[in-house]
Amino acid sequence: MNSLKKIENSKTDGLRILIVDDDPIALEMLDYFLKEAGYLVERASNGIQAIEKMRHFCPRIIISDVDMPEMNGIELCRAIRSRQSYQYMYVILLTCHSDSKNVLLGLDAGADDYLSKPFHHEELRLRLEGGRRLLMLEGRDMMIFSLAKLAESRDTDTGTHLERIREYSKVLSSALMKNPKWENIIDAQFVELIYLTSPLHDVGKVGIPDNILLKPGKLTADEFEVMKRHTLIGGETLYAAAQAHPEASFMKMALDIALKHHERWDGKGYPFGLKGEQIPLSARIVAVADVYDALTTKRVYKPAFSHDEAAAIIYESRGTHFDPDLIDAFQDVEEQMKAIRLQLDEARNEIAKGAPDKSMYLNKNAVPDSWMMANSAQSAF
Amino acid sequence: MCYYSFDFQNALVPQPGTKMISIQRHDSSQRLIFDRTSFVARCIGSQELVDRLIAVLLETLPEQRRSLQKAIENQVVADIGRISHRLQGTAKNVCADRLSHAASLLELACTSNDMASLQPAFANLYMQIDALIDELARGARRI
Repeated sequence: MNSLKKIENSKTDGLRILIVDDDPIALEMLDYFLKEAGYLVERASNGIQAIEKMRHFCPRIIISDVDMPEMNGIELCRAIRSRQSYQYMYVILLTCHSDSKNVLLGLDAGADDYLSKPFHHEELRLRLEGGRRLLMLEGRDMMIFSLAKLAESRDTDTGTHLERIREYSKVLSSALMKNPKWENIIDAQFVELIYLTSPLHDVGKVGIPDNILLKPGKLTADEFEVMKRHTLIGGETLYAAAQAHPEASFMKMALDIALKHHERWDGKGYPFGLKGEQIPLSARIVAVADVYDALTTKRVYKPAFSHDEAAAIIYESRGTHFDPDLIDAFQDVEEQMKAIRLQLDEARNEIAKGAPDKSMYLNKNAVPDSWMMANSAQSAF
Repeated sequence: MCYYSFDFQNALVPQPGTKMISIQRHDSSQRLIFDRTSFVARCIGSQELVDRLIAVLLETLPEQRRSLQKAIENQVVADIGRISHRLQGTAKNVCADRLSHAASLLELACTSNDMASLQPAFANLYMQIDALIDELARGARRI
């Protein structure tokens, strides 16, 4: 009967939309089109009512008229953006054709898009598609980080390790972008992708037995061989996902990082013993970030090295463990790396102070990255 | 709430030099009371939606007319402007072209503080609401 139902039912996944308008006809039309398209819909006739309904209905998208009694659409937008919300709400304003002033005010107040009244159902569908795409991106980013956090949760007191890794990776790749050799290879999208995917570098640790992953001391040679498998386990998992979704470019980078971040520039790394530029750039960047973080983090078997000590070890490994260009980049952003460390440590301490159960953040008995130290002994780190 | 400062009693009498909005009591233009073809198209051919919207219209138009009447009696131009703006939106949504035009004239009279045009614009709008209700009641439900 209509294109909305045919095209959208399978895509909307019951996404919740709150429609806000003081015109009952507009509400009725929106309600009909959106429900036909498979959305879950709730109605409100002004901004105050909308805020009340938001508490229980938790909409992901809000379609609101501008001119309404009590609280208008622009005030509603401001109220939405000033709220502490755990997820983003996409706001579309309904405005009159001639109302460019309100369009500007609305966008300035935080609206994401607008739709002219009387709206055309096909335009409504397309505007919603745009909103859904944005919300999906947020969902993707959160899912990736959640997956990485889940993997890390077995590895205990790494604290804000994943947060630090992604920040270090971002800073290093941004610095590398300034190098003429890399300026045409690294762009803003690369930096964004490495920020997104670097937390997945150790996702394969979910497949390592507890007695090895959590061993409070140096690993034996056999245990270390098992530990090294985390790169292959992570690689296999992400390879399957990349094959299933070839359109998802970030999966390729995630796969490269998880599989190859323990390769060394001189070919003495694992799992494949790749050398030099055979190692994907993203993996080479994360390798520096990961080692810097391991060195500056306290373990039960070692104190945290100071930034200067860690930096000295990294400089010594130029051309052996690490890509020389990356060490130059590291040199350029050393202070930023140090600041990130301090900033995230402070944030973590603040959380720990206010947390009822500090064990959520600090597991004294656990030994993260014990394999890393074993690796240190065997291969300079 | 925003009140415009003017004298309602005198506002109904045209003042010298006041710009008048032309009100067509008997609309000789091509505008239809109710453009059924366009309305059905806006409803993407859904009889269900047509029925729902007409039911809502028949229920809410008399209410809106009463609200407008009250705003006129209370002499609150901001309310008159807001209700006429909403009616204009409603009318555009259901392809009630004459009502839409009449509502836009009343809104314009409010926003431009053209008190001389307020009463005739209101009268015209009142008439167009009635005309639409009659038209809908006469069987506009058929696709």
